[in-house]
Amino acid sequence: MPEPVELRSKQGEFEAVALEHFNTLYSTALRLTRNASEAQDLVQETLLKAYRFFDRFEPGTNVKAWLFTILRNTYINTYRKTLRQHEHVDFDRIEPFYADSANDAEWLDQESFENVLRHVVQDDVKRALDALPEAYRLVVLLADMADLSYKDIAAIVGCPEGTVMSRLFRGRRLLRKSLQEFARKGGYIKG
Amino acid sequence: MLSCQECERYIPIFLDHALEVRESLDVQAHLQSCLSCHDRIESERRLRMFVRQFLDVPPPPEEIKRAIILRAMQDERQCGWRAYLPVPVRLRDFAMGMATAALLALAVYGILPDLWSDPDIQKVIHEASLAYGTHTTQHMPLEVVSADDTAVTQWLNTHMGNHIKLPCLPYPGSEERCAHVSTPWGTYHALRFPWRAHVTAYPEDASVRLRTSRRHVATRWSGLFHSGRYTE
Repeated sequence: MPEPVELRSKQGEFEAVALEHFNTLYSTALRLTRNASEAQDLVQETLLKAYRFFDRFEPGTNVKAWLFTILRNTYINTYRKTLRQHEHVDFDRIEPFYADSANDAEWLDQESFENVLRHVVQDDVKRALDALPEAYRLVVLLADMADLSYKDIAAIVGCPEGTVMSRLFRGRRLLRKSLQEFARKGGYIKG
Repeated sequence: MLSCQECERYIPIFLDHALEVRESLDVQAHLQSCLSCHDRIESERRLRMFVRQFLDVPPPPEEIKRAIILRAMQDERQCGWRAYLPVPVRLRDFAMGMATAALLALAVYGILPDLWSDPDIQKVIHEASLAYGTHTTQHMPLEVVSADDTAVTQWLNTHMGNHIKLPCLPYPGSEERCAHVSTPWGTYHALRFPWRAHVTAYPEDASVRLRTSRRHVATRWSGLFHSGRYTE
């Protein structure tokens, strides 16, 4: 039986949107689940829910942020029980925002930092990112991989923009520290 | 003119393109004159590029992408109403929730379910009331086990339509309190636990059990009616 024109139109429109954002969704899903097969499942589940409610999506609003909101919620619902223990973040124990960002030990000079980046390998970057607490990892991924604005990330994560900025700052700082640590252990920089 | 400390605070936001125009211009002006801050922003920029470059995984082949999208659209049409249930309440979680609710209901309302509708209970109560009410002038033999208990008496007066005073005394070594009233036409037996009152009426050839399930106050009650003569 031929499909109605309206359904074909919805399918075509959704397919275009899904294709446009597929790669970013998949990269983020992969970094969240750390597994290619689970990442594909997560993206498919995200798209299934998105398609179900595609009629309710208002044209002109940010479709990318909308898709990432679904991805994030699906991820939390599906993987909440299997989240690793160390991903619990005790925000009180983490240094205050900007408290000692001027500490020169954290900001290597340009030459030393280039040295870090030259010797750190892909696995180190993945390990550093995976080691981030869940709350930081998600905002770092949304900002640096999905190129979403603070406002969009705040809507996706469900917290104020100030919290997003704070988590981003801390997450990137932890990432930098981890990379420097890998380079230090490898003997590529002194410390 | 910004200080280095201020500039440093703005660097991440500047790189995220989230600064206001004026602050953005201030940062740019500071960077032109400060080598240290310039190095820092370059370092931050390089780190981001580096991370992005390493984490930028190759996407699945085009045919797999299309297959995933098509499957998502087809699954949505085939999965039916169950798909509209949120993931956490499906299957085992749903069953666990229902089992917990059932256990809670049993704990609150007692082990026996309410098998009898209100009209049945009302009928027996009415008959029991009539049996007692008709003979109020007669001597009512009391098998008193206990002294006065206001809560049970009030409950009985409210629900049985009679005014009888039911004395209750505690059982030795128990928290229960009991009263037993016998007439030729019926027997009333009251038990009061610390958390509920329990009254049983045995009119002539039947028995009715009435139970209050909220502390001393009979705001809700349930009944169990046994046909046939009551035998102890």
